[in-house]
Amino acid sequence: MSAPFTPERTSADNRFQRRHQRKAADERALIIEMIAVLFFVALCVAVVIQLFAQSASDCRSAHDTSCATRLARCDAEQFNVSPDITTGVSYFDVDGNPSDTPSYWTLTRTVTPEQTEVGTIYHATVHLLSTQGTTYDLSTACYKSNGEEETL
Amino acid sequence: MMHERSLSSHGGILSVLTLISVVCLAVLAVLSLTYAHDASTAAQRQRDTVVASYQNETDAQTWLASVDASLKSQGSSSSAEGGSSSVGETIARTTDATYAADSNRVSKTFVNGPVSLTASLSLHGSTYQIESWNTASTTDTNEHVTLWSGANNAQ
Repeated sequence: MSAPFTPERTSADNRFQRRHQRKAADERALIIEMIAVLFFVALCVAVVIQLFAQSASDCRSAHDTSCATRLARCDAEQFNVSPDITTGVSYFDVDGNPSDTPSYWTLTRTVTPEQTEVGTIYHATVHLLSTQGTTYDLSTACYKSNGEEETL
Repeated sequence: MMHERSLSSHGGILSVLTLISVVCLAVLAVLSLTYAHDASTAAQRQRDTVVASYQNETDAQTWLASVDASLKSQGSSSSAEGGSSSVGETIARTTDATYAADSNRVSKTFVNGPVSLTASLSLHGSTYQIESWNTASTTDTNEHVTLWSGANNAQ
């Protein structure tokens, strides 16, 4: 009933078995390689995400500093024009545009007049506070002589 | 046999593509971080310059007040025009300024970090006139300027 034993049949079986074993080994190697690549990619993506997060944080900080500097400088120049306008509070959005309601930036100008014998030195402190907790201070002064027009 | 070779080569191509993608992503991330750091340093430098500039302004305005006070106090005693030179010399001496007798001007330079302000006043009896109010900034042109100088030359 069984197939007759022939040398050709044994050789074919061996070749098939060897091929099957090699294929299984290749598949195992491929799976191991894929797992290694997956781990490598996961590791790299984690590092890259950290770098991008740090970049975003630095950029936000730079934008805030730049915007605060601009707002404080504008307010200091307004103070130089009219130093007798005392303390005031202004609001600005994240890009530095004026806002009527409390927004991202809150600018507070505090003016302290110092009376001298012949005039007044107005000391101003411009304080900026963002909702993120960023603060910026700028101090300036303006002198006005008593009863005299200053000419440039 | 063909199928085995195809499977194996697909795995290799995938690995190489993944490696290239990861390298490109890493380069992009490092460039992004460098740019952000540079922008942050530049913004901080701008902030420091503005603060120094307004500190000079404060010092100069205080000096202006002291000059005005000196003029008023000494001008009342010597109202003649000829007394201006002695008033100017006194102001220059007391406020650590410089006096130019030929133009009857006192001037003083205020330096705060890289920013300086030079104020010049011409004296007319017991009054003054602001002739110039110049702000200047010095730049450190050292040899180590690189493409991302903001990060390397932070002061």
